[in-house]
Amino acid sequence: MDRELIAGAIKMMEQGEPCALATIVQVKGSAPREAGTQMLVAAGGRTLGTIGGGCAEAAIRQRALLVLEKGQPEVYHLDLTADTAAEEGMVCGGIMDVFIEPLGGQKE
Amino acid sequence: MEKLEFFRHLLTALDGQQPAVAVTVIKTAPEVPGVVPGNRYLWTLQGPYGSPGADNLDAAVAGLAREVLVSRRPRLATLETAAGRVTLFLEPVLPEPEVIVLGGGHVGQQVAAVAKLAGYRVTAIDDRPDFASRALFPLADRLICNDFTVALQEIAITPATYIVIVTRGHRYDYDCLRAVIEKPAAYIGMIGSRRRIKGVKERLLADGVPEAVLARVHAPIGLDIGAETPAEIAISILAEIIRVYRQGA
Repeated sequence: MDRELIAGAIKMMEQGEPCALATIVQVKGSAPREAGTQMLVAAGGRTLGTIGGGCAEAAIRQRALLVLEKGQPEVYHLDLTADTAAEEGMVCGGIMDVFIEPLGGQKE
Repeated sequence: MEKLEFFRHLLTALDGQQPAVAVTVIKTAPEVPGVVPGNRYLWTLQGPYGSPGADNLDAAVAGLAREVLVSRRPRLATLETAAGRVTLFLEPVLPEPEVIVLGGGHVGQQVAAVAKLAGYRVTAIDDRPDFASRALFPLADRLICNDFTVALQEIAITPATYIVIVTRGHRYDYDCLRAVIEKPAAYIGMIGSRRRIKGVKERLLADGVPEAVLARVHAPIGLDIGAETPAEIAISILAEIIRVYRQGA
């Protein structure tokens, strides 16, 4: 577990800045990062940590912003094996389940 | 439970070097009263913090958490309850690995730089102010200028500690190894020619340190890749540390 990322999440929550925490919970096939890898996405789009970079990370970031808007956590299923993924240049070819959770940002 | 409180608690566990397992409810089907995706729970050997949301889950979670702590790998688990199916993500909360560099010479400086590059916490120790300096260790998380033996008594050495002995002379190597040899460090490596290593080990044997304990010292230090320059040696040392950290040997 990445200490900097947890500290970053606490800081954002304390400052009342809405953010979402994305955690890879399951990986099948070859994916860029393993289960447990996390990324923090702030409402403004700023990110902390990386879950592999590239298109997969960009897709997760987009989804995280949507989750922030809805305010409900979800499991985002990302299939990097599809043809579109290959077209987009996602070369790893695995399947990832990512738990995306809004951390609010309410001031105490 | 407030998420902020949970994360503060999690950070305390990480900083306190106490092993724990963070449990997150990620899915329920159908809805289970009290159990909501996003519910978090910290399981520690001392007892749990928070709850997954339904009392009857506690025992099952405790069993899974123990397994996760042993395997050191996160896992996804689905529990069947009377009310429905609950999917949990369990991740081990392990102390951050720390490399302790003993000796601020050319090799020590490079070891600190490569260890930072690989993402480890770094503490550098030397008894000479000119060597335990920010100018030589710009990236170290902690810089200690003190007698090696005294410094090593004052810092925590845990199963997440990787010790690299690269001092300027065998007298200091001996002092350092003597101070750490019976500590629970994950890795102890010492630089030096076979002759110098033999001398230090013989002194420790004479002091009553058992041979089996001395056998855990990685000396000659580093993977054998024919390294010659301080930077190359540092890379071979970190390669060895990474192998111990990731593969346990």
